[in-house]
Amino acid sequence: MKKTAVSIKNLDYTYPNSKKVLNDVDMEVFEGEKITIMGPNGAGKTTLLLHLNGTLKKSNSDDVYIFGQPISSMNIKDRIQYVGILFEDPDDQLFMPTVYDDVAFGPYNMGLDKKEVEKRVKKSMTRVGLQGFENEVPQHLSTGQKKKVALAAVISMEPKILVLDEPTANLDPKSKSEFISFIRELNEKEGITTIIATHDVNTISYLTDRIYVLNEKIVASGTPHDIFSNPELLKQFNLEAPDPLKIFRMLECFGYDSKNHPLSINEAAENLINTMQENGDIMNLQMDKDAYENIKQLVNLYTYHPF
Amino acid sequence: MNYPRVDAYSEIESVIHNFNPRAKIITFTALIFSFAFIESLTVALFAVLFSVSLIFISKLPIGFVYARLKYPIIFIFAIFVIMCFTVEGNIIIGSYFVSVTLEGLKLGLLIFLRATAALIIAFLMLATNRFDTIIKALYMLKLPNVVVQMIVFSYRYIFVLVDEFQNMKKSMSAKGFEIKANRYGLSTIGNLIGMLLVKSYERGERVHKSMISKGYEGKPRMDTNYNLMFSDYALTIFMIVLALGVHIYPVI
Repeated sequence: MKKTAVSIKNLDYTYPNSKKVLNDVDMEVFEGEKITIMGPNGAGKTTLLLHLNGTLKKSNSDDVYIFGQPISSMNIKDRIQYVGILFEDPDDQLFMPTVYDDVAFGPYNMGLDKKEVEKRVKKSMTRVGLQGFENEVPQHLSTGQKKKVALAAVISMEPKILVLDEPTANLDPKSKSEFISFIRELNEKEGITTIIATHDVNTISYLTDRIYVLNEKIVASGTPHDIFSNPELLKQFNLEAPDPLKIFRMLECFGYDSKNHPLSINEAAENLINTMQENGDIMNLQMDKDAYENIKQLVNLYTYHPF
Repeated sequence: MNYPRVDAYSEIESVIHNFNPRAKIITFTALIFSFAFIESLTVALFAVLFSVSLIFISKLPIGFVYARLKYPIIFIFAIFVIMCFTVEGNIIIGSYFVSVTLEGLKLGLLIFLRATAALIIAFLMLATNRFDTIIKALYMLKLPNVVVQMIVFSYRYIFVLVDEFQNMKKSMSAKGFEIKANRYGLSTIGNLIGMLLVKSYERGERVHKSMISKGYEGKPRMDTNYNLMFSDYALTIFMIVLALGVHIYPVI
């Protein structure tokens, strides 16, 4: 049986002079899982993530547990060894004079010696594909490079749980794809648990086993198929489904028989090929009398642009 | 974006560039203080000539040096002009309302020369190394950690703030705003600066959270590896002797 990596029980949080941001949040993440947290703007996603390594915490309550230990009783070195957080804006995360200093910042705070720190910096920079950039200054890097350096600065601490806030925001398609592959690799090859907050639904199938929908509290949870097959839920919390799923739901209106709704372009291609092979290389679509009305209903249900 | 960097030519190979950063900070600081307290006009002129010769030795492009130093030197020159007209003494040129005195001219010239010499030395100290190297040298010189951190963050985030300022300025001009010296223009610029301060404060909070998430406990460590060579010792001795010499020479 898999160990519980993160357990959150009845977590409440209110910023000073502000309204409640988190209200009675319960969550459980198992070791090696890929979790996505979705929710509308202002739902408390970033606030929740900041609780996962104790950056935000309440001194008088044990509501967040990491591998069974309450985070409030863990010292700072233990916390950063367990949980690494990647922030949305890399400029918030790269604050030292050079890239090397930034990547070495966490390992030095963990009390590692110079030799080990050098080794980790080299390894992390190589892994994100930026070897040779160690002496660069952050302001001379592109957004994609900054994001990769910020990730290197987190993985240099070799955390067991990787928390990522909008990891694909502001990245061009190639950088986005590289970033996704790298996060998947960390999860699949090294068993690192990943917890991601994102609005980028088209990347979710690559990065998610389970989704939690947050809006101050957890309002729904389930597999990506469970969540994205519930358009009422998505609409209620300003969310959307991946484009391939919407297209295949429309194809169903024309008689296409889809066993599983694909969540990514790759899954869609696979689905089309399999279906056609099963039907003797032919795809039968037809427009019956209800098709138009069904399509209209579907578009109105899944999008924010009335058809 | 192209930022106005003082260290844009820090990668050039020259004696000044290759001078150990720690030794450079110590000796150049000694020279700055020494030049700032020169009492003799002749020695001050020598100090300026020495500083200018260091510019040539450093191989920095003259256009770059001119662009960086022209405004500070204009400012110092203004002090010289004011001194000429305000210090009492023997009038050499005068009319009913204004007069230039010999004492004013001498004192103004002395201040202008020593300030120019010190300014050039300070500029060379900053322009012949990458700024992060200077920060690390200060760290190695055991400057209080709080001061080093303030310099680190100021240097790192000045570029981010420049970007944010430029973005807000572009946004304002996209909405038809033109800078004019009237009440509306000044109040809009005031709002822009206020917004920049608010953004800086918010970014400060986010950066602090990010630092905590990487185990920050008040004393970040930096990797430094600047070993002193024989040439560094020789140059240090030469500079220190010169810094002392400009004060001993007039006495002899």
